[in-house]
Amino acid sequence: MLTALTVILAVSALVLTALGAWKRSFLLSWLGGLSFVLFLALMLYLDRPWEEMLVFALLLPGLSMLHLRGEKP
Amino acid sequence: MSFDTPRYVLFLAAAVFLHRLCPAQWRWALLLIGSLFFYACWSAPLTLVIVGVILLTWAAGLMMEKSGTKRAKRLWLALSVLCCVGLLIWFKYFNFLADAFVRLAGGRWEPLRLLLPVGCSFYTFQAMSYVFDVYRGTIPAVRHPGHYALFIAFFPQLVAGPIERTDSLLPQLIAARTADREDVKAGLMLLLSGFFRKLVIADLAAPAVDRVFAAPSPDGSAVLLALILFSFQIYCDFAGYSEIAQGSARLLGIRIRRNFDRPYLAQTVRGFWRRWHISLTGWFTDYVYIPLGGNRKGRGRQVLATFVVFLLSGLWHGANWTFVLWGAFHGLLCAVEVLMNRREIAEPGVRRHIQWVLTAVPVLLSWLLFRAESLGQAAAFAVRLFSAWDVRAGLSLLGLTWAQAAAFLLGLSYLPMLHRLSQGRRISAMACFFLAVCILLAWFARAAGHGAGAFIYFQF
Repeated sequence: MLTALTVILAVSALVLTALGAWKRSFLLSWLGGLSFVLFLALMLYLDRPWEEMLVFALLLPGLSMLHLRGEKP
Repeated sequence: MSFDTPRYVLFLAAAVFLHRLCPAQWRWALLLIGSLFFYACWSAPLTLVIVGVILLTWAAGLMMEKSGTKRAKRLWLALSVLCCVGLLIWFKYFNFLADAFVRLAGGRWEPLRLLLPVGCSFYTFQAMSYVFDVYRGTIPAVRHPGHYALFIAFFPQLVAGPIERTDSLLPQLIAARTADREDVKAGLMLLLSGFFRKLVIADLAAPAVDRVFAAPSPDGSAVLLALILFSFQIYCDFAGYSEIAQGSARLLGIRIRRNFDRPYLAQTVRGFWRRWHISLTGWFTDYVYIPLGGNRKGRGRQVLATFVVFLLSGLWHGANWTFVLWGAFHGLLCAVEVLMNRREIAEPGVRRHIQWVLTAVPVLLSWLLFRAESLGQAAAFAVRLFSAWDVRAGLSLLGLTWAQAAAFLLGLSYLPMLHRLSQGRRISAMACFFLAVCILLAWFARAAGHGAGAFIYFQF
């Protein structure tokens, strides 16, 4: 049950963050952020290693920069 | 008090807060007290060494200005430079030189237990740049001892640079302006980028590199992977430190110079050094390369000056033959480039990529000399590198979990974004938030027992 919830939160964090950045929607972005915080809280509760949380967290800054697509880095 | 500890973050927050409250005419005193406290946290007795360097070079600057004759000026310059170099020789090179001489005589040297004052190589070089500039007459001598002491001991750049110049840093310290909104924003972005480089990239690579270099005879594939990891570890460790220093100073309304500019994109070794540890390269260019003739006295003199600069730069990094050879190797590469008149290619194309490979491969291999404990280890590892590989054994020696490897690779993919951050270019608030969370998670991962600690350049 908790594992399923973790997966749902992880997927929603990824999708909402990407959509929020793509559509430049403040609301979607912050909902993505909220899902991510809840995901982290659940991972902490499940006593998962820090590195696993870090790997997931490292996907998000890139997704949240999708609004800059096409721009030179 | 290392930059990557909560103690430093608290210290910086207190310094910024008090700096804003303090009247402008007393800010130098506040920063000086804070800087000396910061240094005393490393080693209280060795604070006397830096105080000695400050007093000596300050007095030498004044005496040079007062001296009527060129000879007296030269005498004060020689005295102050000899004291600074002598200090470095005593604390950093004494055992190394004594060992070399005693070995030549066929004996065996028992090393003395000498504690190297942290940041000694950096602040002595900064102090020497001041006396050289006063001697040349490019800057006036500083009359106020407090202002001068702050210039040498300013805490963000005290322990590992960037090595600042008097004409750029001192006027800012005296002006003591309040950081505006743009400064605070730029400072925070630099801190974010610096902490990310250090905690997420450098510290994830460090344990794997240490494991390989601690193994008696690692597989060639492990040596190559360790070299690749080390090349990113040292870059992100030192560039991360430099950005934290820049960011800390910026929060106090002070701009200090940039020390790195994407060095691994260079297409020539000379280009690499224009982008790597820029403040040290600039120091050697101004005070060694140009006085030796630079490129004004023919190709032969230029090659000689280049080689001497890199030999000294290697020795500056540490009292070990590995560093001397590392410097000599880079000197040789640069000398060859001078002779071949090799330059960076601006137009896109295959030639540009070939030139990049011709630069990246020797630079990568040279890190073996830099990281090895001894010449024997460097030679043994070089032999392993070119013998038969067992990739599975090599990967298992690195000992990285899938999560650590994935986090390291994902961290590397953010280097362009970090460059953007350090340039003060636009980035979304959400990206900043996620980067900050990544830094926190990496810090917790390190505290839980994985990853490394101190900055590599603190030992120099």
